[in-house]
Amino acid sequence: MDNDSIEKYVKKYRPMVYRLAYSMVRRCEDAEDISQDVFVRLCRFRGEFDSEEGARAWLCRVAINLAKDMLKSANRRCTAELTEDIPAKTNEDTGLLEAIQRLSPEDTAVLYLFYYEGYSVKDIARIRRSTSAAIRTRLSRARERLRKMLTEEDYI
Amino acid sequence: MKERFNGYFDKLTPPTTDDEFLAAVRRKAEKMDKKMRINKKAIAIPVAAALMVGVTAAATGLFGFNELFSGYIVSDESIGDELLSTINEVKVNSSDDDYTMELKSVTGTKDRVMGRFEIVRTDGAPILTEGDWDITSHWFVNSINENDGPSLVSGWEAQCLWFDSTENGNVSAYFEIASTSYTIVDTSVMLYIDNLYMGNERGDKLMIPVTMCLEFNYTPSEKASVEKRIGGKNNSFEMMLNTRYSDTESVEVNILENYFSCLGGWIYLDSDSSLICSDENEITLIMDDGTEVMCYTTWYGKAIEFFYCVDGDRDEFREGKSMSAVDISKAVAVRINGMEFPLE
Repeated sequence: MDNDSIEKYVKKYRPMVYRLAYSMVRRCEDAEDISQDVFVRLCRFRGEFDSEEGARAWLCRVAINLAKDMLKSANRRCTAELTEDIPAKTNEDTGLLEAIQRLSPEDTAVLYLFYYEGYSVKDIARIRRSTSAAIRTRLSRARERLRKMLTEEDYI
Repeated sequence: MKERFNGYFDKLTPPTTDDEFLAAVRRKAEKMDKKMRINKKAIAIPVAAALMVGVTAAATGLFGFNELFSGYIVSDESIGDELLSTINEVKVNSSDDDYTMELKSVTGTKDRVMGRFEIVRTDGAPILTEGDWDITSHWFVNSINENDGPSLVSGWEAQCLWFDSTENGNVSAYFEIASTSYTIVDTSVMLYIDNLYMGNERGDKLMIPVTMCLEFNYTPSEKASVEKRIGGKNNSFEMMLNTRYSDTESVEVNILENYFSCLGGWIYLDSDSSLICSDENEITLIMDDGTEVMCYTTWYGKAIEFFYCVDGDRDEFREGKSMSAVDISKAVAVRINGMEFPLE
């Protein structure tokens, strides 16, 4: 892919890739690292995207796969403290942050794609190569867990 | 909740400017290019040297069925022959004569290849002492398709490689490579390892400054992905899923073809694994000694990774705690939602 296209995609989709990666790995430097790797792969991509939406979905899928790789790595498994790099500013934010961090990475990613990026269940299923039923179940459970945690903490 | 959730992510912005980011991306890409160029030189080694590598590989048993596939659950040699035909031209290059790589298993389909290799000392001594070690390395995967020239990583959707240590102190590594197209077919796959970093709970740290490349030509055979099935094309299995999903997603049942195959700590499916790995499915492995291991599964494309569920609390695993890979080579059956499927 040529430099102009890469620049265009970076400007447009880098925040999305970064946030999606962060939702799973929950460390700024790791999310940045994954973002870089995603766009390195985009540099190598020689196919053509069917549409802008196709490119966006491809970036999401690669970001998720790379985040999963990182989470699987031996080093990541034994370091789970997530106290820095947090965009929380208020007590309310801290409560939300803690609740989000208690969700599994996969649940957070699905919530992120659904709420923040506005993807439909069907689209998320396509990105995740999963089924709508599985995504719906995951979404529903994640939402419920998040709501429960926030209620318990009196943040909602 | 949606507003608060989105507000949280609104505040999350990348730590560098786009220009800095692009520069970093280019540096990484250039680094890969550089390695590719080195790689191309390595391919052009004289025929005599290549033959010598081949002879060495043969002498160490690299091409033998048992040596190649002893890590598989497969015991059917007729299937093994098919598997064997899926790879050839195995080559190993190492910057340090003390270390080499041994390919232990390979399988896959036309858009996905997975397998395991070990990094060993040539004198047979263990690399690692006893205990649990975390191992990592700088690594990358490459490919060259003769028809397309050095297209290398073009179209490669995902790559992953993770390390473990073996009982005899070698470094074991599982790899999985997926392509957005079928670029893996009849393709030279190369796995690069650049330095090994190891650490254990006692605080011991070890770095081996070695650069190695394992190369093999991969062509999937029809049987490569079906060396192990659970119940084969089992109607009852399909019915079970149909029952489970027909009320909401009946159309998706049709995409499941019931194929399972096993590889190391993975069970591989040739259809969408998410049907199996849904939270709604309870999966238990029945081991050869009769013990039952309730598992939490994660999925990666079409492969399922199994973990022990030590205390029976599946939520623990969703939090990523206390996961321990299952050696499914000792599994004789799988029970899914109460129905048992023998591993052939």
